[in-house]
Amino acid sequence: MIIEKIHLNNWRCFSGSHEIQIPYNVNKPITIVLAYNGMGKTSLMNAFLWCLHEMTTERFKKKEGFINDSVSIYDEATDSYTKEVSSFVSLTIKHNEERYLIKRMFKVGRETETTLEVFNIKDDGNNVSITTDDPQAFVDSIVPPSMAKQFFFDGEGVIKLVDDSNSDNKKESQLGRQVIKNGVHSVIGLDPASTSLKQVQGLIISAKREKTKVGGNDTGGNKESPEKELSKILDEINEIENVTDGTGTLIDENNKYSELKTKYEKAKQDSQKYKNLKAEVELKEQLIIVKNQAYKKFELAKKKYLEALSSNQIINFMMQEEGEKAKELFKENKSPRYPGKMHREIIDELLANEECLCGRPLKKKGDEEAYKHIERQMHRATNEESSQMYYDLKTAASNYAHFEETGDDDLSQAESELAIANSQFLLADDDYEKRGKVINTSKYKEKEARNIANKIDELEDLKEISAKKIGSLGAQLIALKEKEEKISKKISSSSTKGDLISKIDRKIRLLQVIEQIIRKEIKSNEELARSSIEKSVREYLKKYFIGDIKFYLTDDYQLKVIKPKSKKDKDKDTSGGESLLIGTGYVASLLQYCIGRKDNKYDLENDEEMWILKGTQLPFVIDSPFGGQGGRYRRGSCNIVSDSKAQVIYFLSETQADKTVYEALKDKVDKVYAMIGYRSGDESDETLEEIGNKGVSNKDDYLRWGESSEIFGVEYDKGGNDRTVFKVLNKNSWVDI
Amino acid sequence: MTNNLDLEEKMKKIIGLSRDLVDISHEMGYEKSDKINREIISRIEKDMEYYSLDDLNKISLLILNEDQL
Repeated sequence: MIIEKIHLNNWRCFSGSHEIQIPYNVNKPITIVLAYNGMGKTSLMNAFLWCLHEMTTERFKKKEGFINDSVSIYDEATDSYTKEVSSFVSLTIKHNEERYLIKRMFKVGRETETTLEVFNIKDDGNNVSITTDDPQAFVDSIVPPSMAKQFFFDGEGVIKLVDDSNSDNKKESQLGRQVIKNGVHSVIGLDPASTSLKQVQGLIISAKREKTKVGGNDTGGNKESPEKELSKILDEINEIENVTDGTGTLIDENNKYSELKTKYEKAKQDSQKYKNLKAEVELKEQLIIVKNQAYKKFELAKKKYLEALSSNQIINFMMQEEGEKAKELFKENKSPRYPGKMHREIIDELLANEECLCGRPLKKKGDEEAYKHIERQMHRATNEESSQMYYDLKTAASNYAHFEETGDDDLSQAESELAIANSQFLLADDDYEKRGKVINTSKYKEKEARNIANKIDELEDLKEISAKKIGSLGAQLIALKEKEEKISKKISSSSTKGDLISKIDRKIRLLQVIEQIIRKEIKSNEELARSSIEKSVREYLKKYFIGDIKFYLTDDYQLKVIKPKSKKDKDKDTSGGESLLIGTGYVASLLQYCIGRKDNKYDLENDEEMWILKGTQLPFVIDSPFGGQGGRYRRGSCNIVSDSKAQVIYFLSETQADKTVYEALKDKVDKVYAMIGYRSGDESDETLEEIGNKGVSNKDDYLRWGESSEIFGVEYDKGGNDRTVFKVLNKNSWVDI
Repeated sequence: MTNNLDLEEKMKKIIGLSRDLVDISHEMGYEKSDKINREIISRIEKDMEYYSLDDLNKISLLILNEDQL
């Protein structure tokens, strides 16, 4: 990174807008800012640090001072700002052939806010905002923050790079070493390599996890092979299937159940048989009723028959006997008109007989009418009537004959009914006898069937329990079969899985090889950097400082000065000036090393043996670099720094920018900025010209620089209080003063 | 079987790959690590097919031996 320009706007003591160009070329790499103490050079140095990393040196941390008093309206009573105001610092830099504008703004008002913007400055002058969510990370990638602390500090800080064992604060020294180590790692290009190493290590872990997930056993777990797992599952399935019939029914219980079920079915059939027989018995009982009815009917018919038989004989006899009597009477009584008393008796007798002949009770009405009719006829009592009576008697006889015929029919019917009833009775009786035995057997069977039914009820309960058991076994079986299927599939696809595992294995191995290479390269680069820097410091010291200082670069990149052992040599103990010189030599060597590495590309054709990491070129921006150094150390420091070819921005007070420094740097300085005017807090009413005229020594101090370089004067607005106007004066006008 | 010449070529290729990864980290230093990881994985997978496990084991051994020399 090369700084091309700094732009300050109402930042700290710089009122209004100020741009300072910082030219750089390898032959004249130094820019000097001259100012008396209290005029604002440390503010300017802090502007660089703040713009890049929002860092400041200890004295400049208070944010209230970030905005120039000319615009800041800070109310101390309320501890707040009365309106929204802002200040900013921007840096124009060149990095990897690209130009960037880094702008940090501080805003106060309702809220205090610091923002950072980074733009890529195109050749046509347009600014394009860089596409990143984290502009600070982008800036950090150009200037590592750990390095910023080393390269933007007050001059005495350089001593921290050197351990001469004089440090009273070991902890601070340790912390300082770590910062230095991190910083050096960054600038020699180890940061990206270390980041890559971490990323590759992370990828190895991810790949190993991926392998485990796929089914590889790289993690060393006790996971069985799918084949083993399958065989185990098949055993479990067999075990379950052995106690079941494969459909989820337990074999033992099922057998018992089947056996009883058969018995039950048989008993059920027997029971049905019994029921059928029972129905038959009921039928038989009905038959007995029928038989009894038939028997009664038979008895009745028999009686009727016998009665009919008896009546028939009687009527026949009577008809014969009475017919003869009637014939005789007819003969005797030729004139039937007077039948006399005898006739009358005969009629009465006949009538009486007629009643008997009927063999049944006379129909009352008809018979009475007939009787009355006869009686009436008898009252008329003539021969004719007697004769008529004879014919009537004949008719009666004829009627009787008819009755005789019908009486035979009744008899026959009665006989026939008797025969049927008798046969039905016999049949029913026979059946009853025959089936009675079966009924007895069926009754026993029914009892047995009932017992079996009870057992079956118990079995149903058992079956329910078994079903639950079977359910659980079935579920187990299903789960096992699913597992079996899955593993079988797994095994069948093992070739694909095998390929995948093999691919992951190769990936892991490749990443491990890459890890090996990066580690090796980091180590090589560190060794190279350490030896190169050490060598360079030795050369610088040999070239620009005659002295016998023994030192080495530690693993923490700190220069360790070896103290002399002899009493004579102890008198030559390293002074602060020497340490500062060695430190400067170290910084210069480091910068030089980085510049040398900056443009190196990874060219396999020419660089097979050693992989050179890209270094980061950084400017050396340092306030009061010479501290308490005496003339010879200052000269040495100046020569070493200018020899490094690194961009250097020196902030020098009039006491530091002395003749020795001037002589050492005069040919290496491109621009000198002189900040002249009122010191902070100066209440003087003098004009700039008056100050210039008054301070001859000032004039001498600055004129010296004016002889070799272009000088820009800085005019402060009078009144002090950090109200500063930065005004550029041309060389001639300055010289005239 | 890969001969030694092939192996050296392959080793050189892996060194190139490793440098590319460092380059990616350097150039994407301000990006989120997920994004860098994706870029690195994609770069590695591009080269994966060139090396067998056997090659990689041998290369690893070669690097180890060089270190010990």
